Amino acid sequence: MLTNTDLVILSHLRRNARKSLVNISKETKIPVSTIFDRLSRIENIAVKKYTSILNFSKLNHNLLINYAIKTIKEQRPELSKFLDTNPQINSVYRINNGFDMMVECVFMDLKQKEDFEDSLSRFVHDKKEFHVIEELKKEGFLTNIDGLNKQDF
Amino acid sequence: MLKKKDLIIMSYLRQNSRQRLTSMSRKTQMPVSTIYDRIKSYEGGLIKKHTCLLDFSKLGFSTRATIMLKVNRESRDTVGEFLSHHQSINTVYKVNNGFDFMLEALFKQIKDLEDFMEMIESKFKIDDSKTYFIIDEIKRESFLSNPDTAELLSIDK
Repeated sequence: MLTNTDLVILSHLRRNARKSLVNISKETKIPVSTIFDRLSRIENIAVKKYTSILNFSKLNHNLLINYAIKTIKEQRPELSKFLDTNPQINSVYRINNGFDMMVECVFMDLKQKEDFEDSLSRFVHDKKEFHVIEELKKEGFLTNIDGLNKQDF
Repeated sequence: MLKKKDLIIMSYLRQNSRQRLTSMSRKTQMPVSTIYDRIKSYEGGLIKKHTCLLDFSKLGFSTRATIMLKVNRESRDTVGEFLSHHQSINTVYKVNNGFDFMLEALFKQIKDLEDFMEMIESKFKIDDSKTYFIIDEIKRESFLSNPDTAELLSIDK
């Protein structure tokens, strides 16, 4: 269970993971030593990794596509292995409701997308693709804890 | 297109955005000052933000879903604005192919998700919706998180 102080620290790191403990302390009035202690605990409980969210189009990768994929049960391990090792894949989730996986891919162009879909086709029983036209919000949960029901945590 | 050095820095940040510049300097053989300048120059552009990815279930939010929404054309902007500011929504994309929005939403229990859907359907004219519960996370934010693949994207190979 996280305390209110933990949530405040976490929300600062959600907004900027490179923020120093000194700056978090200045903004929150929580002593640096407390933040240091709490952070080790928070990292053990809830932090999966620190990362930088990129604008992929600035890397000339203008196609961000989410695929809902249905496969047959026997091919699931092989599909998982393929998805785990393919460098074009950003995120993979197991889902329900008629599909097995939701896969987010980043492509430079249509040729790269077509090549990926060709390699994927051997595992796929059914697929739906959703092109991301615009990103309105990314990793925004718990970036602002004002108005949150602290008892939820 | 970015230079190989920049892409390598990005890949290390993708692996761990909180690591020290001195540690990145050791791994990349680049001076700390160069790494600092490069990161600063890309913040707000290529780098949208540095964040920490959470295990939401450990925070008690065990109901996680991808929700597809098709909304009335007139209310599209209002819905987008509403979703972007809603505290239960982690990510919102505008998408094509029969839907307008794709959301990643987090709730403590299924009932909260049902309440959210009811609320949104009463507030806006939703033409269609589809909910996919996330059962397991296999991979998250892993594109360009391996310095070896950075080379494939650079101009000075």
